[in-house]
Amino acid sequence: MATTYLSPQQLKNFAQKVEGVAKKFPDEVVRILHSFSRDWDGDPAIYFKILFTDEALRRRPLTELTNGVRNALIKDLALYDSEYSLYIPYFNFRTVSEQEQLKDPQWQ
Amino acid sequence: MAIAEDLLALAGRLAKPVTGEPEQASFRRSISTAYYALFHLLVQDAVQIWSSSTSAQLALERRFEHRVMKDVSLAVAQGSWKGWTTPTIPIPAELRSVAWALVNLQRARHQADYDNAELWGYSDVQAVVVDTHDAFDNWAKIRTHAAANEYLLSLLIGSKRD
Repeated sequence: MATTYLSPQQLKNFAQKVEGVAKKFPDEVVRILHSFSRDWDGDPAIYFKILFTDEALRRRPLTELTNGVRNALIKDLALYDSEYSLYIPYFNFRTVSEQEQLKDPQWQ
Repeated sequence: MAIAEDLLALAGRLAKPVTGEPEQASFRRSISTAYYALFHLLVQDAVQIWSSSTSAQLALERRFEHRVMKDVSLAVAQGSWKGWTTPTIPIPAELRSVAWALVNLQRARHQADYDNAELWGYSDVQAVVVDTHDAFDNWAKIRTHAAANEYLLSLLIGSKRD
């Protein structure tokens, strides 16, 4: 089953923009993973996994961090107003130390 | 709205399991509980008009379907939703925020309840609880707005047909 209707070039552009958003938060974000898939209802979806530094959470409230990165992704990738709006964006957040504890392969 | 607020408080407690409690199980229950907190907040507001009959309210509450609520909320969040009023009522930013919260909480709740391969970290669960609190606050600001009333109707019967 196809997980995306986007062309290879569109996928490449998308990945570059995601990387660009991560670079906007050099002290807070380690990396942003993304994958195109279907959600539990079968609707097209983009899953973002945002890995924060531990230091970021010590310095700023969680809600400020999550809203900042989430809003930057929505705006810079035009998630609601472009070809990507076909996909429902979902966001997950984790810190480096949480990932070290969980050793979750989906976040590597 | 006591049950909705009680569920939200419970979600917050479950998001911070004490030493010795099963962390992943607590996290999963927290996420699921947070979703149902928002679910009941909206559903209970929607059935207020039948406040003189508890039976009617209960019957109506059971008619709400998660899938319909997701579709309507997605349309509201993305700006494609049409209410019943002409000309269309502008959608307040707070309502869009509530709608997004419902879509994302429903996804998180589904993964927490049914996907045992999914692991949850402390920050992720805290973010879910914080988002739910924000949704409650936003709803309190706009719950008497005309668009909010039409949103509640759409949650029950689906989006308006063209």
